[in-house]
Amino acid sequence: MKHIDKVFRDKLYNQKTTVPDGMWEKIAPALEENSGRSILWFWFAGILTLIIGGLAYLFLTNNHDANSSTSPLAYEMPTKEIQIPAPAPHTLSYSDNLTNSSTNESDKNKIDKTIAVSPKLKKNNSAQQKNSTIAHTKTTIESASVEDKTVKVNNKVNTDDLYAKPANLVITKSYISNNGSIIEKSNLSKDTKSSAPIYNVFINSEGLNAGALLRIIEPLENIPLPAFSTVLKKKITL
Amino acid sequence: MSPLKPNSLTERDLIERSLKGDRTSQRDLFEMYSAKMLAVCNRYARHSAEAEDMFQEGFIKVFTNLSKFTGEGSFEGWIRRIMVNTSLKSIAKMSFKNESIGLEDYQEKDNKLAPEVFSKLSVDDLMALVNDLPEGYKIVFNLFAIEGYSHKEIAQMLNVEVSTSRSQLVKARRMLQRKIKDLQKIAV
Repeated sequence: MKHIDKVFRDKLYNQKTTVPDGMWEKIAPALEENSGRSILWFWFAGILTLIIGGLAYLFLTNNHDANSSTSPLAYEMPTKEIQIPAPAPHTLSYSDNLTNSSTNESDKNKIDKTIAVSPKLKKNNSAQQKNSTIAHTKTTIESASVEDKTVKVNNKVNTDDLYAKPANLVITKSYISNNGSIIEKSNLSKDTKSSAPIYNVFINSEGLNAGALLRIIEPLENIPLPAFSTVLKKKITL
Repeated sequence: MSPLKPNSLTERDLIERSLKGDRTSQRDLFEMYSAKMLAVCNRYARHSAEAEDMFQEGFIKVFTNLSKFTGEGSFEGWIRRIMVNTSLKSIAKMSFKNESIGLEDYQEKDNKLAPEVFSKLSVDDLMALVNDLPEGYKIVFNLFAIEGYSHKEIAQMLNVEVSTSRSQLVKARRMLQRKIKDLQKIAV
């Protein structure tokens, strides 16, 4: 700092000037006005919030009613526990049908396609067969039931009776011959005994002729089943 | 150190009460700093009426923005800054030229006024000297030499180049030295 700056700073920084009378009286009313304005703004903001809140509530309520009247499935229902019973006799008959129908030309085509997307099976056919046979000799089951019958299902939209029915889960075991056709266990001959096993997982709703069939040509333990819980996955691993 | 009021309330107490809308405390705070702050405004204003306007506006801002005072730094420094900014705003119409500075501006010759020359000058003399400066010089000299702002801060406050702030300061100093010399001659 230059000397001249210091001289001015030392003498002027803390300098005081006589304040004319009535200065505060000129300032105070402005503060009152500001204070009044603040209170007014406070009330205005409060009332505005109430109005917006009310309108939002009305809008949401109406929307809710509209949704419930037109689309009951839009509601998220609480999690329900559904009892999955042991496989009913009529589901076994489906397995029989499956055996018969598997010899159809259309099914054959389907199987060909399935094999085509599984190069592992094609390449290591003999090894696969061997492994699978060892892995599953103890438990060659025609149909498997889920022992732990209680499964938690997030029943988001299931107010419909269709989904309230108990579900059946049937797993059958078949084999694929060298020419790609499906052979049921009962029809296994000496020639086809070492064929690779496949698993038919059938899920349906009791009393309804509707369901989903999933054919699995890999050993179950190699396949992630995201749709099932870990416990259930263990249960159905043959 | 903040001065204490006769009613023994500390500055912090007065601030807290003022925040709650206590007019008496607000008035006490006003009285504590009004004399100093009016002097600040006087250094920026062209005349006393303008200074009073700046002063009033500044104090209204002080009380309406009191909740923004965080307690970091002195309360006086906070008020002073508001006063300076208010004064600068009210004279914002004044044009600052972003003039380029020649080398001669930096080759400042401090005419080495003898220290006794300054000691003979009263506060009023110094105020008069500052107030006689052209507007641009006066503001930069006030901000830099008296308030202690840096050229960078001044450039931001006035929305000018840093070089302009330096240039104005150099010119202000030269002019003050010349005037002090003139006063010295008159006195002799």
